[in-house]
Amino acid sequence: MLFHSWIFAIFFAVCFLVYLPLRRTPLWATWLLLSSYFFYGWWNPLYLLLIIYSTALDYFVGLAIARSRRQGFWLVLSVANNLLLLGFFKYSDFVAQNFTAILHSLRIPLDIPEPGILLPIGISFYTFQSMSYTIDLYRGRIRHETNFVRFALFVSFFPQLIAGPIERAGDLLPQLKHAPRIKTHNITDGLSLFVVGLFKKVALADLLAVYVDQVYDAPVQASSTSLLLATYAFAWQIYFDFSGYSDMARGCAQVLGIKLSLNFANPYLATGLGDFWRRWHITLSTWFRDYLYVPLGGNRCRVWKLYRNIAITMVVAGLWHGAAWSFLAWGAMHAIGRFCTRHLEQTAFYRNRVPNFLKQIWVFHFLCLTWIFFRAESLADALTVVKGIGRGVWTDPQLPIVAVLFCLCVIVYQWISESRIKYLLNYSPVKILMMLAMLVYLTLFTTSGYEPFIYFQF
Amino acid sequence: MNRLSTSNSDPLHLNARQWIVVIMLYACICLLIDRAWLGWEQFNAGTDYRLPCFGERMSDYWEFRRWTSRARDQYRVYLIGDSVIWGQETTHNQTISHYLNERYGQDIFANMGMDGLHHAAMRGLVKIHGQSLNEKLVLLQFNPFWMSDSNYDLRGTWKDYYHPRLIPQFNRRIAYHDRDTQQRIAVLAERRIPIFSLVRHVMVNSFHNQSIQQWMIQNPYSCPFTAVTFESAPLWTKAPGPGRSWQDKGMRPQNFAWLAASDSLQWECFQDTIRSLQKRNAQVFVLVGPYNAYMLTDDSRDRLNQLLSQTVQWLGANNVPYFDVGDNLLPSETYADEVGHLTAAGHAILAEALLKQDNFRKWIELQPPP
Repeated sequence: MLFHSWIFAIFFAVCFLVYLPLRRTPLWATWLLLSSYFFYGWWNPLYLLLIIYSTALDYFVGLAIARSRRQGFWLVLSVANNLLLLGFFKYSDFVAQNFTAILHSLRIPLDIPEPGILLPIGISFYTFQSMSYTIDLYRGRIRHETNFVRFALFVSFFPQLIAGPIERAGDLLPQLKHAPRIKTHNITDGLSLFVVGLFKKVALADLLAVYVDQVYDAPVQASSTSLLLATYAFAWQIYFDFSGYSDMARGCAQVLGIKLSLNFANPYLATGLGDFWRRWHITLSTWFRDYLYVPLGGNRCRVWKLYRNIAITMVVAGLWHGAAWSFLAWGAMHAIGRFCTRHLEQTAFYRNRVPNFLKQIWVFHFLCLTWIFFRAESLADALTVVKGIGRGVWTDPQLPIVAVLFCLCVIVYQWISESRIKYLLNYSPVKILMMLAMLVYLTLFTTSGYEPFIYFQF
Repeated sequence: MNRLSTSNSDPLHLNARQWIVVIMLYACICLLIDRAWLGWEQFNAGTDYRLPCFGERMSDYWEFRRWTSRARDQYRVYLIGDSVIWGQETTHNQTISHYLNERYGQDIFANMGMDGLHHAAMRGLVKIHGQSLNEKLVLLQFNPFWMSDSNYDLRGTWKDYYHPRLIPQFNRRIAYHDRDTQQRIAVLAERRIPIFSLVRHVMVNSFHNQSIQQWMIQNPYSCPFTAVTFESAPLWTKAPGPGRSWQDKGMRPQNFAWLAASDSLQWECFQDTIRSLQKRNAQVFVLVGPYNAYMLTDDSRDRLNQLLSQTVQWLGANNVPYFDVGDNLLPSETYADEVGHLTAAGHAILAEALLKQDNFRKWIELQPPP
């Protein structure tokens, strides 16, 4: 059930209309939970067993941490359970393939069987969210949740269940304590977010996707120009796709009276790689910061340890996105990028003398280089793309001019939104015209072909 | 790391008043475009017009809406049916509507035939796109071919059917196979929102039946607005079929199973079409056939006759005037195939026979209700 589908529209309408009167009764949370399970079970009802198991275990671990003296044991149980679930469903094939390759390289003719299990949708997101609860509880940052329905709703609240934002218990659970108030601004803001997200996904990401897929499906045949432009196009495609999803998720939650965290903040206006991670997939990067980077020692340690911490965090973040060497390479490149630029970014020269637009251009190009590894089907394909760009065969790339114009408009819009003249975007006629233009474009120019979201596969 | 404020990234928040303005403007734009397009796009039906409904144009129901709307003032009788009425084997001026107009001496019969318009699709067309049929004289063609087996009755193993957008989207008896719930809900939504019919028409007419986004990928340096020609598809003058008889084509007799009327979804839909038109004060006449009984084995012909007697009995019992073409009116060589497509001579004979029927002549003299 994708957000940009008619089924979701019907589902949400029913959910909302029943939810409105139920908010005056204690049943509102149960209704949202049932709706969330229905939403999740729509893909495959068997997945429900997994999420219920994971939720139940972390709920009881939470109670145990609050009441027992062996808090460390219970925390390890919760973290191990979540990581094992994730590891088994997400990485078992990858591990088996690589073991087989190692055995073959040692001339041992043994094939490790691949389980070939279908990855339950959203597992990377809800296991991380659930894990953050037990860790925060262990650290004494939050109080344990005694109400199972409320806790289950925290883990599986449908707008953010499949692809985030990854919420913290400290942010979301307090909102679920009492029936949310729904005021006019909840509806209007939610609707605004949803339409913007829908436009990003259907009008922008799906348009760019057609071009990117054409080029990346056969990188050997593509010219340097096509490969270069397809890489730029992918950078924007993945941004529009994922931030569009996040906007729609936040919009739906907002209508239900629940506020979800911001996940993207104009990431391609970042002036450094550190700045990029403060703007891109914010809830995941802060998760890794708080639960991996800081426990490893963070940046308050010797230089070599700092680099080690960055390397571990980035490589794990890469692997979180998928079980493939190309994702590992993507994470490693970000780590190397941070090594090389961290000190540079802290110098007065870089901060004060280098114009922002130059910083933004180099950061964007570095990101594009990493996106090649993220998008390519394999490490070999990624290297083919890099070599292909370097080959210097410049032919007509056939990139739709409309897509280029759209991207330029978005850059200008984002630039204005972070500049001194951002008040221009707050003028009523400007807002009305932009929203109207998006709705008319969606109606006239797009059709009912439904591309799934990229981040659903993670 | 500090979280950036929401306002930094989401400046496009509209308040309630702004939303009301947006919704009103949006509704006006959609309505205006839908209406204005009728004027912007050149359309000259001329005589013996028939819809350009083959291939990719099959799903362009906006054309049907426009044609029925334009024909209201000029024509008194609308002939609705499948490619038999449309004239699959004939040129545009050799169809039954042409010969009816010629023999009657006045241009009052409009050809509203569409390729592949089985009875379930006919019901959808009339109910969803047939506002202009209200209070008109409507001749419905009943082609028993659509009840020849369970596949044509939408309950077989076929993956898809003709006019999937017109058939009921949630009927337990229809085998939808690959059409998932999402697609079927999307069809229902499209039916309710008129602008989507126009969008489909523009896609078909100017963008080779692709979405405008797909077109932009194939024409990367062109502006989509330049592709919109504002010209209707030219009149389909040629005959898509060779116009020869089934014997000339070397076709052999068939042994169709034929469903019982009581068991047929297509028959139910046909009955519902009549009732729907009658509710809207349209006067309905049913043309039963033509069907190529020459091309059937003896057993198959017997089963067909049983089916037809059931349908004719129902029409009679419900006071719906009809004309059963029967087995012998049209010579074997006027049939082009098993579907009932006729050659030009067949259309001429059928038109003459119809005009000789008292009930038909009485029916066409009926005045629309005040």
